[in-house]
Amino acid sequence: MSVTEEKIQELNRRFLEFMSKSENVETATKEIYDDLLDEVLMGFVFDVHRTTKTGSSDVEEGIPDDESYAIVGYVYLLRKCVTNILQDWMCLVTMLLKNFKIAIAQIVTEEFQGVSAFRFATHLEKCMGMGRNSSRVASRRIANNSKDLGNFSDNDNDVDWSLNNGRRKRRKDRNGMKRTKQQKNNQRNGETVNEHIHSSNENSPSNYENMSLEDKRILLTQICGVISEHTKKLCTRSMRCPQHTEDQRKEMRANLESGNNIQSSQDNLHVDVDTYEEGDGQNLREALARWDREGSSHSSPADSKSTTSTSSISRKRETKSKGKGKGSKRDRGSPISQGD
Amino acid sequence: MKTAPHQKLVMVGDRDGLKELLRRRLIECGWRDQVKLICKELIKEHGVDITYDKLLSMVTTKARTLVPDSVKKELLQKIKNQLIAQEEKLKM
Repeated sequence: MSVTEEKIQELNRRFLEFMSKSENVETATKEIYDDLLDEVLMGFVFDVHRTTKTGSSDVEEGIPDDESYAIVGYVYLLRKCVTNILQDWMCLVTMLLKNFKIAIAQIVTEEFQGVSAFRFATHLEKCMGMGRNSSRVASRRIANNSKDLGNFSDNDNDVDWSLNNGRRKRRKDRNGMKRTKQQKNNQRNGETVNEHIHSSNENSPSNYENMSLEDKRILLTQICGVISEHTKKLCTRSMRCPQHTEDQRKEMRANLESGNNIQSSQDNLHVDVDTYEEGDGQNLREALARWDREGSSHSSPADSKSTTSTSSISRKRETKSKGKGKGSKRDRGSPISQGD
Repeated sequence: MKTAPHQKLVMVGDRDGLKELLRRRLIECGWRDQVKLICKELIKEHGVDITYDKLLSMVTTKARTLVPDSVKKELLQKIKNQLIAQEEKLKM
């Protein structure tokens, strides 16, 4: 058995002996408590004494109580400082926001000047309060300024406008082509609907009568050119038009050549009958046959007279209409007046 | 004879635990701050050159009375329980 164990056993024996008496327990507890309290108190007091001796108490505790008036000043200064800092900070934030707004606006105007600007505009209207109206006002102002000063931005706008105009023109041209196509289709059905459009074009077949001989020749090299019996308009289809025969086309061209002589003496109402008879004989015959048909359908006594009249009258009519030439065709709507 | 319970508690290791518990309780109830204020007043009264022993002797009586009863009772109870627990251990 070692020495330490002997001592431990001795201690345990004494401890048990001490604890055997209940009043001893109470006193021992109190002693131990006082001992512990003294130790803790010693620790706290030692800390205070040491901080005071080393001078760090002022640092730890702050300003002494007798200088408490200074605290008020410090608090005032501190408050002022804080408010100043806050104000500065707010100013900074607002300034940054303003600059950011301007920067965004610049980016939008410069970078998104095309398609995406419209999409972005709605967002800006909601987000930044930069509405469509304000942008319009701004653009108007820019336009006014640029008119005076000739800014580059205006040039950009001009480019845009000219581009847009070019596009529009192109669109118009396309539409015009479509319209001519439609006309062709309509004429294929034997009806010309858009006469206004025809009249707008100088070289259109509707203007055929007023065209010069050279223009007529050029036109007839491009189109069929046979004058329709129903509409009295030129056939604008190609040379291989299936509706008209090759003979009709030849006749038309021959008529043009012979019409050269007619035009030269256009002021005189007297026209060489023989030449014309050669040129437009078939058309005339057809026209006369139609008149007869129309006349037979009418039940007026004058018409019946005319129909029952002798062949000499009809021959007269024929010669007269031959004499008038093309003009007679145009005035075909009033055959009775021609009959006189 | 009287030192036996002290020695026994130190040997078992309960004394340090009890001391730490007391310290914590006294800080929690604000006893430490009260003691500090008393110390400062004493230092102001007697000058900065006051010795530690003198300061402690002057503070101790007042500080003892300032300890809350709840803390004191709790500590006494715990110390007693520890002593009884050690006694029972030895008897077994």
